[in-house]
This record gives sequence, C-alpha cells and structure tokens, in this order.
Amino acid sequence: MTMSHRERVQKALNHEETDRVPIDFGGGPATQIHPTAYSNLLGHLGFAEENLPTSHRGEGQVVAPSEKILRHFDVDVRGFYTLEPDSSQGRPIAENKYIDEWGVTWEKSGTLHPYINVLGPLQHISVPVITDIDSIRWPVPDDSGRIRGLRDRIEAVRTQTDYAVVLNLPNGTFALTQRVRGFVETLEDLLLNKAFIEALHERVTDVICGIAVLALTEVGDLIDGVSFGDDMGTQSQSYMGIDLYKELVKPHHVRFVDVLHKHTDAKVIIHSDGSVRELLPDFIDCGIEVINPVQVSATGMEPGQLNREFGKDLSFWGGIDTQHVLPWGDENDVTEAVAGRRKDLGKGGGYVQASVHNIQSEVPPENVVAMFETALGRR
Amino acid sequence: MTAFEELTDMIINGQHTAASEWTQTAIDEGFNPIEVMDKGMIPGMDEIGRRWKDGEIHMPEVLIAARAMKVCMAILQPLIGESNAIARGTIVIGTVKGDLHDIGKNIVAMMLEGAGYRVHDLGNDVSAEAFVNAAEEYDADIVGMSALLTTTVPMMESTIQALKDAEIRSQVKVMIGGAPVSDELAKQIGADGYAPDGAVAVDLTSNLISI
Repeated sequence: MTMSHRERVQKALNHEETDRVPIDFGGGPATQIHPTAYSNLLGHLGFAEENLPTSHRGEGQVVAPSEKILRHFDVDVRGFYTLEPDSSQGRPIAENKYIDEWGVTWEKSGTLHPYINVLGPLQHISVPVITDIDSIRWPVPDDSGRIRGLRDRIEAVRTQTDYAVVLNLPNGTFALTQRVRGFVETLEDLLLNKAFIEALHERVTDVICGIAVLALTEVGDLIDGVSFGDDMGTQSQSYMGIDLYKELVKPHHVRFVDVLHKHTDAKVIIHSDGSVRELLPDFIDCGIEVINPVQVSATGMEPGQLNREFGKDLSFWGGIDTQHVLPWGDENDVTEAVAGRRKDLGKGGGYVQASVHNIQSEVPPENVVAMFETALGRR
Repeated sequence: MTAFEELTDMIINGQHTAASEWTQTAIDEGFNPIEVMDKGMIPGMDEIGRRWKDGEIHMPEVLIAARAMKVCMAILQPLIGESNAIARGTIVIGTVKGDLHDIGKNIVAMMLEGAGYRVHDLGNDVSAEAFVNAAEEYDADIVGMSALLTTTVPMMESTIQALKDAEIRSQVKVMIGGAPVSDELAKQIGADGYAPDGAVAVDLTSNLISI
C-alpha cells in the first residue's frame, strides 16, 4: 500500500525505510528555483508561464514552485515561513538594495542575481563594546504580524492534503550575528573581542528564541519539521575550530534548539552549508535531528561516510549537488547522483531528497526533470 | 629567538597591536624595512598558510594574522617605496561582473600581500574590460578572478577572451577561484590555474610567476 506523503517524510525522519525517497522542492529557503530556470522548466514541460512573485527572502531571486509543478513531481513537503513583522524597520533604500528587519543592508547586481548582505549595523565600529549592542534597533520578537494567518494556511494543508509540513524559522545565532556585525569582523571578534561577541550572540539568541516561541505556540502542533539556517562551513572546513564553536556558538545552539523541542514535537532541522562534518557530533548533542543540505562536494561531506558515522542520530535532507552536477552535468550525471544518494544517504532510511541549494538560472530543465523523475522511479 | 622571530610570532598569533608597536620601534631604531618584511612578516604568513592548508587553523586565526600583517605593512610600505620594493610579483584580483561575493577573494588578496606580492584589488562586480585595463595599468603578472555563483562563472571566460582581444593574454597568467569553479573548469576555459583557497593561491601564484 502506498504511503501518504506525510507518512513518507515522517518515516524518513524517523530513520525508517520508505517506499521511495521523499522529495522536497521549494519547501525551504534553499530548495527553491531561480525564475529563469523555472520558466525554462515550464516551457520544457509544455506548461503555461506562471509569473509567480519572486522572493528574495534575504538571498534568493527565487520562486517557490506552484502547486501544479509540485503535484506533477509528487513533491512530499510544503514549507511555511514566519512573515515580516508589523514593527519591522525593513524597507527598500534604492533599486536592488534594501534594509531588513535586523538593520542589515542587502544588495544585488542586476535583476538576475541574488541579494547578498553587504553591511551590518554594528559593522562600522572597529572595537565595539557591549553597550554598543543597545545602540541599534532590534527586531520585536513577539510581533504578531509574524504569524498572521499562519495557522489557517497550515491547517488548510493539514485538512485538505496529506503533505508533510515544515516551518522555516529565520536564521540561527551565528548567521544573524555575522550579518549584524559583519562576517570578517565577527570571525575576528571570536578571538579578539570575546566578551562583546558573547553578548551579541546572547542578544541575537534572545530575539530568535522569542520568535520561535511565538511561532511554535501558534503552529507547533501542526508541523512535521521545524528548520533554521546557520551556515557553519566553507567549502573545505568549518568556519571556526571545534573548540571555538563549543565555547562561543554551541551554548546558543543548545539554548535555541531546547526552545524548539519544548514547543513542538516536530523534528529539528538545521540548514548549514559547507564542510560541517567536524561539528556534527555537537549538532547532535544540541538536539538537532536533521542536517540540511549535505553539501556533498565540500570536504568531509562524503555521503556514504556521513550516513555510516551519523545516520543513526541524524537524518539527511538535501544531497543533490548544485555546484557541478545540476548546472554543468548532463541528465545521466543527475540520474547517477539521485540514485547514488538514494543508496548512500538513504540506506537504512533517514533521507529526504532535495537540491543542495536553490536551482540557479543556468540549470537546464532536462536536469531538473531528471532529478525528480529518477527519484520517482520513472527513469 | 632572534629579534625577527618575535615579530613572526606576533603575526602568527594575530597580535596586531604588539606587532605594529614592534615594527614601529624597529624602524625607529634603524632596522631596514625590507628586512623587517622579509625576515619578520613573510615567514609569519608562510607559516599561517601552511597551518591553514593542513587544517590546523581556521578562518578566525587566518584573519587576525592577516590583520597583524596589514598593520605592519602600513608602516613599512611608505618606507620601502616603489623603487625598492621587493615585490615578488603583481596581481590584479577581483570578483567577476554580476557577483558581489568577496570574502574569499579578500582572504586570497590578504594572503598574497602577506606573501610579499603587490596586490591590486578591483573589488567585486568587475567587468572584463576593467580586468584588462588594470592588468595593463599595473603591468600585472597575474589576473585573479573569483566567482561564487555558477551563474557568473561564464564571466571568467569572457575576461580571458578580453585579454586575448587586447593582445595581452600571453603576458599574464590567469588564476581562478570560487566554490563553483574547479581545476577542470580552469582547463576548459583556458585559465592557467585554479586555487581552492588562499593558502593554495599563494603557492599557485609562486609557481605561475616562475614559469
């Protein structure tokens, strides 16, 4: 008997084998698709143009695929997000430039390319002190605008469909700290200005815990997964050594994940790009249950090895390479990658397939189709 | 420990205030600025590069060492001057047009400066024309290009073509880097080399310049 979509995802997250590997497309901020690639996909499938709104969601130039496409590929997951709060200071400041609710400036080069964060409100201070933290405007965690209509929208999916639901919370402690303070500045502060960065981490964690409590009090009973993004890896190693992570970041991950577990039975998913293998034991220790995106091209992220070492404690969500296979490979390469991940990450259960990051503009539609059709056993 | 080894240690440990004071004192006492750079600072960054390649250290340690090196160079550079500079070579570096990502490129630039190269950082969103103009203006030995988006990687090929069109391709070596790039891609587009990180970039630069 075929499993329901929700059952399939739940089983995978419980490390049980399923009838096929569950699929995510568009369920999170990093499993979406560039508007050009999406338009090409629609054309390739013979579907009409959809003119969906693009979201920049802090990064993207992405669209979330329509229900029509999601059903065409029998995608198992539907993702939801908290909204911009009413009290947000976020606003556009020029063409291709805006400030977000944390006071961080984002910019992009031209219409096709993603936004990146270019300036944080505490970045200009060469040696900041703890009192500088109060000098900037902080988001209001319990602003009800964040959850307006959220319960109704998720309940509709719950009652009218059998899809699994993931709530995507905003980013984690380190990601937000480095946006507010500057990436290079934060990494230097970890060694040169510990008292300040500790206090900044604490303040950021206060805010994201407040947002999490608000959101999960509202919908925590309805969801299967709750996700937050905190990139901790480069292509070749983690951002910081393990001792520094344990000292200055882990306590905040522990605190935040604890809040999540107290307010929902959903599985806790971390989105953490890059080479993060050396941090995985500590992620598990924090109470994280699912690792996304499993950037297989990064050092130490060989999927079979990860499953052997961590597969009993972690489920894997992602795995289809976006740096080489999807953009530059052909359909056979994509089919091989999907079959490979099914075999190595999926062995013993515990794998949800998704692209490692948003599908970029140059990815051929044939490759997108191959990714899903192989997963569905249609080729 | 020799006098210069004190400075090397300060660079390695990222003690930028102490390194800066040591350097200023050394200059005040009549030390040769080129010797200070060659015997005190460059060994420090060489050691940082080695430790980073071996995975013994991570970005925070590399960045504070680079900062220590930078503050010392700010004292020495005006004293060394153009005519006396022992520049191992000249590099123009930038992130390609359409791409605003620059952290990796900035770290490569810092490591190359620390290794004694003259680096002209063109910033990000750099057109092919700007790379060519800079290569000509600064008489560059190496043109370094970075991209983080698969979408902007084709700009690397455009820049190589622009160097050919300007008839200076044979006068420079082209080095590329960035997460979506690879050795294979470098060969495919006619670049001379690929570096996955700042430490390897320093080695590659040395190899390319000596060819």
